[in-house]
Amino acid sequence: MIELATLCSGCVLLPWLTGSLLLFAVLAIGFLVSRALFSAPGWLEYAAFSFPLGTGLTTFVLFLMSWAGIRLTWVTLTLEVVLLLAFGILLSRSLTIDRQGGSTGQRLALGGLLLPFLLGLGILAAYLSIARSHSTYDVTGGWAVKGYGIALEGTIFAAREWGLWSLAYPLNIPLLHTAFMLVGAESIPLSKLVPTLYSFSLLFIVLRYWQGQGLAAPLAALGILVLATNPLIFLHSTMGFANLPFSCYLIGAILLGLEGMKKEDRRLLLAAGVILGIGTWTRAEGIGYSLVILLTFLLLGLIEGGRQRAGSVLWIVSPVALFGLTWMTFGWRAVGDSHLGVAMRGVLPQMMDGQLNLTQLYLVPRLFLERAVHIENWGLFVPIVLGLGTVGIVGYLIHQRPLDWGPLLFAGAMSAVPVGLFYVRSFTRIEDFRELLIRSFDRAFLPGYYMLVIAAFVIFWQGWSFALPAGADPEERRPPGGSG
Amino acid sequence: MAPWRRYLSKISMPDFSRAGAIEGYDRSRLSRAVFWGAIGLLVLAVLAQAYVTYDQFAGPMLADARALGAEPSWRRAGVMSQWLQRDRTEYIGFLRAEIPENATVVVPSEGYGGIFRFTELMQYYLFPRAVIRCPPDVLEACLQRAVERDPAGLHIMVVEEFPPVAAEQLGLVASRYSDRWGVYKPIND
Repeated sequence: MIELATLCSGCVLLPWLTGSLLLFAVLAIGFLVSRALFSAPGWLEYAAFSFPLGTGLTTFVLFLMSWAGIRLTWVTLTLEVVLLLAFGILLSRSLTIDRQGGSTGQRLALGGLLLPFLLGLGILAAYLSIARSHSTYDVTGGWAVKGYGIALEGTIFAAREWGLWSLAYPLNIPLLHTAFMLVGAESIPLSKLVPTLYSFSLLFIVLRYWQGQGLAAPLAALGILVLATNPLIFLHSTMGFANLPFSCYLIGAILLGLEGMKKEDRRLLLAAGVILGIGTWTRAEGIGYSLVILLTFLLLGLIEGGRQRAGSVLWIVSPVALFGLTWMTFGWRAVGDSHLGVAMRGVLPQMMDGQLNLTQLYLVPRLFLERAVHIENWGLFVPIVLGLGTVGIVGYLIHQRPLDWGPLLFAGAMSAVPVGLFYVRSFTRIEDFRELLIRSFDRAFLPGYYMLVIAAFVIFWQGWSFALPAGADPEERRPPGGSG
Repeated sequence: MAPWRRYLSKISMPDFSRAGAIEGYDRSRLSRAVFWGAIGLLVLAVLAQAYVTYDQFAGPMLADARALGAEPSWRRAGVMSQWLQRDRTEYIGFLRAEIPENATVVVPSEGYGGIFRFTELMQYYLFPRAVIRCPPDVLEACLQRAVERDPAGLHIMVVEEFPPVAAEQLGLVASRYSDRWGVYKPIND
């Protein structure tokens, strides 16, 4: 097999060209699938979901191809991408039902308000991300080198020997590195655009949700800037850990699911399922998070609309099962042998012996809060969430509004899961548990951070706003979440 | 209508006038005050966060990026990594120059070599070379066997006391980068 890079060894621009082509192809796949999944997609849907959908589907099919024995080379990668593009075109043609309504003037204006700031931040983050290359330990020794090993040997089974964790972690992110390596773009390395693009996709996912909740444009725009300028979020946009892409999938699925349940829109629920399914294909704890998210949707359905609404969760379940079970069939043994798997098996016997590790359980939130109040760690996360949340609840009480449970429940669930995961790990990481918390908890808490900020802005808005576009039906003046 | 007014008219804004005066207080005024108060505080919060992000992270990273310029990606990764930094990265540059890409490299065993003993890290920095590590309890036998298996391609990293066997004893020749670091390589390399 001819190496792509050797076709023109002196061409400085070749890696940029091939890498950009790959990136555009992946974005086009995501764009076409978004077109098929959403009934009325506009620029916000495309900006939010093209990248996470495109990457997840491309790597998942690469994984299936390799599992089936097809050697991964730049030729098979090109064939795969072309086939996925063709499939995307067919899918979007046959499933598209409505092309209206996505890009209203208000949506464009909201984007216009933010675009200069986001563009500036995005360019800065992308430049720094590429410039610092794979300079973080887990990224170097885990995600990147695993992908390089797969590219070198042409098979996903190379992940056993290359890099950390053997096959315990799903291969979404490593296979992205593989793809960029196969097209010769890792001398730049163009794979370092991945964290930045996930980070900014997530901002558009949140913006889309807030826009759907009717948040005033200045409030929504400032909310997005609160997220984008947070030091930790900015840092992760340049680092390459899988936690930020994972958050992108979890938050995307939650927000689409909330909207889908409220509107009883099966397409949105299915889209939520596909996004959540790709989440299980991104980090080892994805299956556990998915179960918690599905149970929270079930609970929310029961609170808000009884058994019938709860039943709509089934639309989310099926794609999650497809991705999750496929991955688990392949990686079950390695997941069981991973540090989390070992910890999980060790917890019950120790608890039965009366060892509850309550001090460690208390230590998790305490150490986190100690760090979270410092602006150089988590920005102004604590005062913003507490301030907006409290003022919003006061508004709810004064104006006697019905509470929108969705964002609140998920903010609680997404904050509780990492605490639970680290509590489990406290049973096996006895000596260096404190160091483990300081080193790793913050990035594990990213989904909780996003959901808390999202919920705080929604609660504030619903508590105090009387906002609807002029001329709207006064009967509909209640906030979208307020109708129960 | 002026373009900026037309633009602003498209942005959704709260319609506080609909709040009215109910239950003895002017909800409209209170809501407006709360909303714009929050907007003002959020603007300050964004500015503060942006300052900290630039001052603590983006600014120093930009300075590093400018200093490194168009260096290869593995070198930028090494210099900016808290584990390797400049001097260890230069040593890796030496290894990359000394060791052919199709060779196998033995990294220091457990208990030797500091950061260089981590196989996964060396797999990245020495890619695409194969990287192996010997168990410390059978170190000499393992090194001997590795040389026998691949006499023309095997290289051993020399990091302080590792390996505790002389190059001649293994049929290799030593090439030093510094008094602490170097590499054992085949005689005809």
